[in-house]
Amino acid sequence: MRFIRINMSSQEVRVEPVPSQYLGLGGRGLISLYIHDHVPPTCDPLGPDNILLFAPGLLGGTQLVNTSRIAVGAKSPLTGTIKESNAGGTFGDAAGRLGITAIIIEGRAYKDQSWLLKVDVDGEARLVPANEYKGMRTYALVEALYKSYGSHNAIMCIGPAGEQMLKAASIQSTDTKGRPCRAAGRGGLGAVMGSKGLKAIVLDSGGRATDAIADPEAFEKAAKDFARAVRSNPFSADVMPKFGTAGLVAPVNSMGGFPSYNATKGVFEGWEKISGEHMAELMAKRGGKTGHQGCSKCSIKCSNEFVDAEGKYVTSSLEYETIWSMGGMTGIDDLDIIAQLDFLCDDLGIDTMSTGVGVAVAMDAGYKSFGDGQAAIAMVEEIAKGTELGRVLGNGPEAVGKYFKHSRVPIVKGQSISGYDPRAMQGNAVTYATSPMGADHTAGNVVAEYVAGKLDPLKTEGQVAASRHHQIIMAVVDSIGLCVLASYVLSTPEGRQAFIKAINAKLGVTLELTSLTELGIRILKAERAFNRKAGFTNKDDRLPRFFYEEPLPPHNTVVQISDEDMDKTFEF
Amino acid sequence: MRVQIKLFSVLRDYVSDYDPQKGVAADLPAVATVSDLLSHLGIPMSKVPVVICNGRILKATDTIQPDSTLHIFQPVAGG
Repeated sequence: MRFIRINMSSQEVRVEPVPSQYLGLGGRGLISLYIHDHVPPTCDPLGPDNILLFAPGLLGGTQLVNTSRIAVGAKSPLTGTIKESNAGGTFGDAAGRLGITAIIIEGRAYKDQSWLLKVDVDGEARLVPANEYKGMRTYALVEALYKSYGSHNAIMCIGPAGEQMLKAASIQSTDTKGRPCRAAGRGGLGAVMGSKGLKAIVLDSGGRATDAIADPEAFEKAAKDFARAVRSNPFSADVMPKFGTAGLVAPVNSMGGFPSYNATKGVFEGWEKISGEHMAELMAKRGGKTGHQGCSKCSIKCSNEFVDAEGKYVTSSLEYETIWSMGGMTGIDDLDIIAQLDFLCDDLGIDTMSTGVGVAVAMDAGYKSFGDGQAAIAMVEEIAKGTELGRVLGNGPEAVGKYFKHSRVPIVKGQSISGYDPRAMQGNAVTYATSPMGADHTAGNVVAEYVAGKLDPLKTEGQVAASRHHQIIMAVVDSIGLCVLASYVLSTPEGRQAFIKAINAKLGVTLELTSLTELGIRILKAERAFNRKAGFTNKDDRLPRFFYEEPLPPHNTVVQISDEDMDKTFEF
Repeated sequence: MRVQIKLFSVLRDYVSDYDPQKGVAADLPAVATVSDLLSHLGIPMSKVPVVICNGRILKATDTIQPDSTLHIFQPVAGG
């Protein structure tokens, strides 16, 4: 239980006990409350007053399956709001094993200086000059870092996009094979890391200092029960290992909610060519892999290793949201092109979603034709070159819309929507509009309610309540470090019970499920309070006009949630 | 009546030699529900199949219209 606090202005490194008000918190909850308490809300996100935090979840470093997420947070340069974005890979588990509650990056290095933070197996932390790595793309960077520090490390790093402080820059995280292919992609937190002058954090993954568990025996039992619940759930046990999140391409298209051609259609004509089913077939033929374990402690294995026709590695892992943004939105129905774009974004350290949507906005504005894969690759390469167009694209879809004077830009608070059209899934309209994080499906995706037949996606009834419910749950899930794909077992009684028992055994408390709801509400309130002080009002909790005015085929619906109802989302 | 079926994810394993391009046709009684269709295909309810027709998710008791194209999935929850 300690903070590693780095002042980049003075290069001072301090290891401190966690102040009492932050005990029992982890991940997003810790980050949001800390930012609320310490970051001036009106500060320049890329200035020295912003604070960048890395925090494993409350159960990071424990044996509970699927709890190795690493949460990253700061005031976002993309949205101007508080922002937490979390990534898979090995970093969250490594941080938990080192007994790290949070790494807190303050201040800003002198211009043109670059540093990396190294934490050894005994928890000793130091800043190391990193000028030799400046400008490097992430794959080459981690290869060089593994040569210097050994392959037993977990790394989070930025690429050229983060160093250029582009607003859609990601922070990349290494997977179980040491590839920087997992991303804290949303909110442009890579730009904040770049602004601080921090190129990478290298953590020894062999720590043995996980925070003590109050009741180890009860924890072990709860962990086993939870693992069993994950293994017996059809979604996490059947669909995910075989198809990964790409398994969503088919059902979301079938429901007419796959925003395509810059969100002008809800079904993508070539969706079967970019589906998870097709990818699985292709990988089986070519010698690629589905069912790959990308993250520490994962029992689901949703990851894949995408190879080309010659069997050569292209990228890992090709996910639903990237297939959507780089495929459906751009009209590109070729998985090989989409996989190349995914690799390119990971290598440059930029969000695949914002970038794909930015390309789609440019195509919609007439800059290139929809479906032109080579044009999309050339556009993303501009980011590395630092050209005018590259900087525009790297600053996200809003910047692209302004540059091309094009108004159909599917964003809220500067951040692109995800692969669920709000006109075909009205509850996701509420989440996009009201989340303190800007448009972000990970903040409260309602799609499960529709698939389970609990809610009609096209009607207004129940959507605000469903969004509220999922936003609260996600605030908790992201605080525990639990993977969203495992979190769906929380909808089963056995999954819920095991989860609460694990938390109680960890902390030595007797919380009820309602206490977790209260935690989620507390987090959301702190985030909203920060945003209010940063200048956001209810008027910012709205979607762009075209979502209310342009009907989306095939259902030909628009967003129908009234402003008054949107404003009820946080009436807890 | 005859309906056209497209199966996804592991549900393809329930029809031998399933062709993902063409899907499979099913011959059902003149009046049939979603439940009847699933029984006909041998897809157990334990797989929690989700049936979609014209972009709308059907309930187990919904009646199937002749000449429909139906897509059948396992549940998804977002990712």
